Amino acid sequence: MSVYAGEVFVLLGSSGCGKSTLLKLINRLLEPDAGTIEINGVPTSEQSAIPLRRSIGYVIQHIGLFPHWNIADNVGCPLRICGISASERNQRSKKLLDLVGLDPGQFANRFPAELSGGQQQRVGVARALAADPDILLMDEPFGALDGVTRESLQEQILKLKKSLNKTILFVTHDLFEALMLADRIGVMHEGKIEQIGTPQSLLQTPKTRFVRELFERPARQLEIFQQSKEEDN
Amino acid sequence: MLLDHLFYLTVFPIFLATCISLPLAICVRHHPLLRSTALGFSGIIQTVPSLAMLAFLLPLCGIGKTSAIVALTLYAILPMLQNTITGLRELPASVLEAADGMGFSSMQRLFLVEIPLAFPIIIGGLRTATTICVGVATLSTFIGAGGLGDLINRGLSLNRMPLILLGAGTAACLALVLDYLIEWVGLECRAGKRPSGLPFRRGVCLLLCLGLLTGATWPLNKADTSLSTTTHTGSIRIGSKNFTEQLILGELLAQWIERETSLKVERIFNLGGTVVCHNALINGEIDMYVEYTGTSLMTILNERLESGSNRNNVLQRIRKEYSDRFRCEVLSPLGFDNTYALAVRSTDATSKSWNTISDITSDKTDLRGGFTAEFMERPDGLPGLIESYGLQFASLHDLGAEMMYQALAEGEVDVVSAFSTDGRMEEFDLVPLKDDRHYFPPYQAIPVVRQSILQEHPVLRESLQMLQNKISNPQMIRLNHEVQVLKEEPVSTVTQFINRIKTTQQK
Repeated sequence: MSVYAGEVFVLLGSSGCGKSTLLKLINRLLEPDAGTIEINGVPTSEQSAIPLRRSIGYVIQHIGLFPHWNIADNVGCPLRICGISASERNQRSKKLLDLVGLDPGQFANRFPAELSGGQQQRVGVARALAADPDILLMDEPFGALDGVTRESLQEQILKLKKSLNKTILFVTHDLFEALMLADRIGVMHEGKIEQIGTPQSLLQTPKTRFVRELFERPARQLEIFQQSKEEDN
Repeated sequence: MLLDHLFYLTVFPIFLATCISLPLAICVRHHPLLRSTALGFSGIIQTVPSLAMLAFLLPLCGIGKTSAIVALTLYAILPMLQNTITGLRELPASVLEAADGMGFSSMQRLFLVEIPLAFPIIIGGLRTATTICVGVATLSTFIGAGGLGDLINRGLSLNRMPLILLGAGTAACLALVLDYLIEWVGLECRAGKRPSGLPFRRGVCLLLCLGLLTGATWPLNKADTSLSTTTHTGSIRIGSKNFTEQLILGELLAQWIERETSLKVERIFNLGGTVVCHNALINGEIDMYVEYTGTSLMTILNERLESGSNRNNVLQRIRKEYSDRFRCEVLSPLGFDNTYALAVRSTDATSKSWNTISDITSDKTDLRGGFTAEFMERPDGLPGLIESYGLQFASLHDLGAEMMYQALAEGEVDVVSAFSTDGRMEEFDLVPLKDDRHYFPPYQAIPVVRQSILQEHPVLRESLQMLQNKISNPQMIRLNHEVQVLKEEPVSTVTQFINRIKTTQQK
C-alpha cells in the first residue's frame, strides 16, 4: 500500500477492522509482526521512535488535550518538547488557532474544560500542526462529535488541505466523510485491505463483494427513505 | 514544644517520606509485582502499633528524636506511596495516548503530564500522611523525643486532665492547621486554575526548603542532647519512668545535685517504662535514675526470687550484677520499699482486725478480690500469693488499675492489689496489709548510676549517698499524696521536702 505526498488518503472500514492499528504502526505506537513501513524511502524501524513521532502530526478521536494547560500551551506543546522558546511557541500558537478558525484573543488563555467538543478538536488539529509536520495522522478525529460540528470540521480540513499541502492519513468508518475528504480511499475489512482507489473508481468498479455492498448500502437506504416519504403521501 | 513537634516530628518525617515514596511510586507504578510488594510492605508497617514500632527502634536508634523520626517516616510512607501510585495510574488514557503520539519522551510525559495531573491525589496522600504524623508523634514522648506528647504524658502520670486536654487539643489543632495549609497549597497549584508550572514549582520549592532546613538543623539539635557517653555539655542527665513517684524521685535527684554540687542537670523524665529507662542508662543516654530492687531482679536480670532471700542479699546480688554486667553502680537505698501490697477498707481493717495478709485467709470466706489482669496472670503475682498464703476468694474480678481503689471504696470488692507507697490510698480510706510471709520481693528504691559519670565527677557519689534512708514509707506516701491528690507540682513538692531534710540535718 502506498500513500502519495500531498494527498488525503482515507482508511475506511467498520469497527475492529484494523484501520486504527494500521495508523499506529506508522508512528510506531504499535510495532508490526511482519512487514515494513517506509517514509520517503526510509524504514521507520531504522528511525528512533520519539523523533519520528515528533515529525508526524497526530489527532485522536478522544482529543486528549492536557487539562492542566491552557489552549495556547496545548497548541504549543509539540514545540515545547523540542526545546523551542516560550515566546516563539506563543506566536506560533496564535497563528495556528487562527488557521483552525478559533480567535486567539478569545481562546488562547482558556482551558480545555471550558471548550465544546468541536472547539477542543480544532485545538487538537492546531496542536498536530504545530511542528509543521509533512504528515498528519488522524484517527477518527470527528467520531466523538455531533453531525453539525463534524461537517464544519470536515470543511475546515478541506480548507487546510488546500492551503497547507500536507499528506493526510485519515481513518473513519463514515462513508460520507470518506467520500467528502478523500483523494483516495483504502477500504479495510477484518484486517485486510479490500481495495484502494479514488472514490469514483470504488463506486464504479468495486473489486470485492464487501466493497460493492459497502457502497450499495447508502443507495438502498436512500431508496427506503424515499419510499417512506411517498407512503406518507 | 510545639515547634519541636511541628518541625522535627512532623515536617521532617513528611519530607523524608516524600523523598522515599515519590521516586518509589514512580518506579513501581507499571510493574504489578514490584507495586504489590512495595504497597504490601508499607501496609504491614502501617499495621504495627506505633508504640511497638518505637520499641523496636529503641535498640537501633536509642531514645530521643532519631527513633521517633524513623518511625514517623515509616508511617507516612504508605498513604503517600499509595496515593501517588493511584494518582499516576488513574490518568485519562486519551491524554497519555496524545502525549505518546506527539513524541513525548517518558521523562517528559512523567514530569509535564502525569505528575501535574496526579497532583491533587498526591496532595491528598500528603494530607493523610501529615495528619497521621501529628497524631503518632504524640507517642514519641515515651522515648524521650519531646513534642506535644510530653504534655499528655505528664498529665497521665500526674493524673491531671487539663494537661492531657491541652496536649491533645493542641495536637488536634496542629493537624487541622497543617491539613488546611496543604489543601490551600494544593488548590493554588491545581491544574487548570492558573498558568501552569509556576505555583506548582513554588509549592515544591517551599516543601523542599522546609525539609532541608529542618534536616540541616537536626544534627545541631542532636548534639545538644549529647547522646554520646561523654557529656560534652557537662550536664548530668537524669531519667525517670512515667508515673508520679518516679517523677518525684527524678526531681529529687535533680534538685539535690543542683543544690549540693555545682554540676548542671538535664531532666529526661517520663520515659515509657523500666526497659526504656534501663536501656537508656546502659547506652549512655541517661546517667542515672531511680530503680527498685525487685524490678531489677525480676524484670531486668530476669531471675526469680529464691526462697530465703531477704532485702540484703537481693541488694547485694543486684549490686554485683549491675557492676559486672552494666558498669553501673547501685547507690544506697533511699529508705522506702514500694512493694506490692493487698489493700482493704480501713473500716474492715479495724472491725475485723486485719493487719497482715495472713489475717484474711479463712476457710469460710466471702472475700471478693479485684486485681489487674497482669497481676492475676503473673506467676509471681496472684497465683503464687494464693499458694503461699492459702488464700481463698469467693470471687475474682478483673479490674483496671485506675478502677481498683474506687471499686474497693464503694464496696464492690473487698481486697485489691496496690503499691505500698501509693498516695491515693488515704483518699479512699484504704490501708495496706502487711506481707508477713514475705511473699513479694523487696522493692527498695535505689539510685542506679553509670560508673563513668561517677569517675568523672567523684563529688556525685558523696552527695547522692547523703540521700540514704532519707525517705521512709510514710514519707513517700505523703509525697505521692501531695502530687496526686493535692495536685501540687513535683518541683515544689520536692523543694519543700529537701528544705525539710536540710532543716532536720541542721538540728
